[in-house]
Amino acid sequence: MKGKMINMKNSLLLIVAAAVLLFTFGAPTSFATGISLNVSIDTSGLPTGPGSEIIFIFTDGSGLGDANNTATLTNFALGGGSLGSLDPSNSGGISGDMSSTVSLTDSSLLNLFGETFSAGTSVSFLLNLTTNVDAGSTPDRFSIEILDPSVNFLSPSDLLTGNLLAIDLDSASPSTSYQSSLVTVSSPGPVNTPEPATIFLLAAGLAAIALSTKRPTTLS
Amino acid sequence: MTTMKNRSSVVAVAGVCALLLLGWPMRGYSQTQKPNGRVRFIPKTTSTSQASSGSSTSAPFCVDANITLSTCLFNYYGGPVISNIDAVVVYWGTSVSNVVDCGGGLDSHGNCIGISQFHSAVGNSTFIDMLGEYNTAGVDASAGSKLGLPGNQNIGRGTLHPGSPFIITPSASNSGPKINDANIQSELQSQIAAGHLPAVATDGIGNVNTIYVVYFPPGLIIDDGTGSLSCTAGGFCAYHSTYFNLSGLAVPYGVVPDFGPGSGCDTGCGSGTQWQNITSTVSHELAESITDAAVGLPSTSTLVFDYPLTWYDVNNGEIGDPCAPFSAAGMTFGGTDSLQFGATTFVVQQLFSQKAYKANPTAACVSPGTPTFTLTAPANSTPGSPFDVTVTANNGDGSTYLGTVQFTSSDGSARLPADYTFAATDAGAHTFSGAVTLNMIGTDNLSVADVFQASNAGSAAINVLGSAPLVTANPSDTTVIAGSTATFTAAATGTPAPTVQWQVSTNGGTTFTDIAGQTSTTLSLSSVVLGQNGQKFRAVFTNSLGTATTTAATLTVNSPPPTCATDVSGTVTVKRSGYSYNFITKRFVQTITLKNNSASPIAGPISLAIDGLTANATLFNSAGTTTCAVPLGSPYVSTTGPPAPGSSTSVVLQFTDPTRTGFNYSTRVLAGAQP
Repeated sequence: MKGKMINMKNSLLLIVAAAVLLFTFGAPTSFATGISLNVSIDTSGLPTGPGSEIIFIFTDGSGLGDANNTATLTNFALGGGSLGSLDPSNSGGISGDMSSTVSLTDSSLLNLFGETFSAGTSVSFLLNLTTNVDAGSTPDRFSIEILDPSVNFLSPSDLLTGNLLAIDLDSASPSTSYQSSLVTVSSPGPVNTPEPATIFLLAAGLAAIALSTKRPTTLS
Repeated sequence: MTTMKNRSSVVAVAGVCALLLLGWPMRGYSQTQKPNGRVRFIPKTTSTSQASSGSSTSAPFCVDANITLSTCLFNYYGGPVISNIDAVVVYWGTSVSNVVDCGGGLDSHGNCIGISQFHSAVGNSTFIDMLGEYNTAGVDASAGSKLGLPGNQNIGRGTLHPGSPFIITPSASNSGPKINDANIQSELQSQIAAGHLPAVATDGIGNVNTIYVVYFPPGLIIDDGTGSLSCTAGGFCAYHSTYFNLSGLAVPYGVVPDFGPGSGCDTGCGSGTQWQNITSTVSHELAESITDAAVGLPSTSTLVFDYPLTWYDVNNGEIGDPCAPFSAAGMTFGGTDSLQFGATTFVVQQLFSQKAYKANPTAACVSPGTPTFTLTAPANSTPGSPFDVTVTANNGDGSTYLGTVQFTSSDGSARLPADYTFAATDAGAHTFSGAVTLNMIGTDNLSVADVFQASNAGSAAINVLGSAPLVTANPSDTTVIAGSTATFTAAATGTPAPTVQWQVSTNGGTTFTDIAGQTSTTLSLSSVVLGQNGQKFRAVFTNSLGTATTTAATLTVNSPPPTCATDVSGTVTVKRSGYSYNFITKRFVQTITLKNNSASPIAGPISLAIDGLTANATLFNSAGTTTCAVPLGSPYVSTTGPPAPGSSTSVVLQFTDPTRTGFNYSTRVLAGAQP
């Protein structure tokens, strides 16, 4: 009876795990539609040495911090440069660093990630961005600024914002603008990017599977 | 008057011969009938007998010393009078009336210029008024109508026919050293038919007004048709007669031989000068022509006195005859008198007045009166106020004044009635209603007199009262918007009514100057400008007695209210970008794209107003806040250049939000300069 009971528990955990995974990956709403962009920024104009800083900014168009979009940056390459430290003024829904993954979620009006670096010839990365459209008339915006060690914008043509790249999440095909003299953008195509809540469900499902496989199964 | 040498006699002899010779129609009478006698003057030398041509009607004059009422009775026989004499002066040839003392002098042909002047004067004078008692209108048997039938004419003043004198050249058949009455009638007919003489004019009821008074040259002997010769003993000084023309009208004419030296008429036709004798004689004929216009026409188959005679006394002839001056023992009646006309004095003959005769037989011969006027006017007036005046005219002889009066005043600015001609219906009195206005303060004299004839003027002294201007309404301070009209009003009393002149002060009232053309009690200043702000205005009232000035009123001119920008949000699409965040300035930056969705350009500038911005946020680059377009107080940014239809423009908003707690707002798109 005990073994059956254990088997029954394991079976129950498997059913729960399957259900969670199914809910996480199989349901259409489990993943938001997004875009994926390869971004490369020419940093050869920056002075060599440390002190330059790259800043990723994700603003919430609703102004309320509705956390309905996430920007995930991976595959960083510094073109011969090296990373420095995180900006102490980083704020909002951010996590990670440029050594691996940087994630920004519009959980507040201003979600700001900055990290210093020693400039090489370029900075490149893969940007995955969900494209949920905010209620109201102002879209969420993802933007990038680079400061030189003297705290001047790398972008010479938009001193008002300093934006090298700006993406307004106003539709499934967001309005994108960038400084073409410094920025190269290419699109590897649309991907399904898990939304933050879905990630938690995925983690729970995988944990349930792990538990079920680690527990010994006793048969009488 | 007592030394008169002339008298007229009545001649009731046939003139039918002349008529038969001419073959003229004779209304209702056979050609065997004889016309009534002509009236003529007979030159007198020393004879005191009546120089009759043998008429059985010759009789003692009624104005004899032994007169009785019955001996002098003018009856109305139903014939016409001349209503308004139209005297056509005719010269028989180029040189006539060669009198040495001719009034007015002689023309280039030796003709007396004064002849026409005399006719002009006598026809428009009290000489004519005297004849009013011989009106035929309303005359019946009791008043002397022989036929018992009323007539229908009143005698009024007349005129000299324009163009007089008319010089005619007689035909050969009517010329010669001696002509007769038939020649005269023939020539008149021919000259009228040829248009050399004016056509016969009639009054409103068809009776003839025209009389052709023919003046003859020296040396010409005229036979009046009865064998009586001009200017000779037993002959005549002048006569009047009548003929029927082809239209059946009874046409009067007068025959006046030369009165010049040696003519016989120069001494035998009166005791005055040659000129005085000729005017006296002609006035006699004119009066008789007017009151017995058809005398020359046949009356009945027998020589009884009847139609078409008009006023006639079987014993004494026509109305001039009893009063013709003559010198005879016991005959001291009649004579001449003066008629002052303008600057000229004419001698005219007295005329018989039946009314006067009945009142006093010894005063039956009357002279034309000198009119006396009485002017009735208010004792007091005020300047500029019209009032009535009444003029009463008295000819002095009981006749009704029919002349023309003229007003004068000591007030040169007075408004006076126009010259007025009295009508018979005025009966010598006429009121001019509201026709006089005096303006001169004080005692003004007003006078009225005959325009032409010497007269005793009527006058009145009117005390014209006045008062200096007194302001009764001062202008009020006025505030207007620039570009509009400012109005000030003022009022004042005063007599005479004061004039007004508006003045302006541009130095706070220290000095004032007249505003040209602003002379009414209301001052209107159109399209005032801000530069007139603070000017002061006053009115100055003035009349002949003084001046009064109002207080000054201040003009305040305000700027016009702004014209607010127009909210065109309904036709403009507003697209917001996301917020950028300037890491250096710490500002949120947002680009707003404005697209004109209408078919028309939007008048710029275009302003984007940020309404309801969350309190923790500030629009850093605001150009200001809305002060005209409601709601007010909203920050806004502007852009130049109105977008064309379908095109876009953009503005950048920079917000600060130190709390970073989020903000929100709404927008308005405003077009125009006053957001």
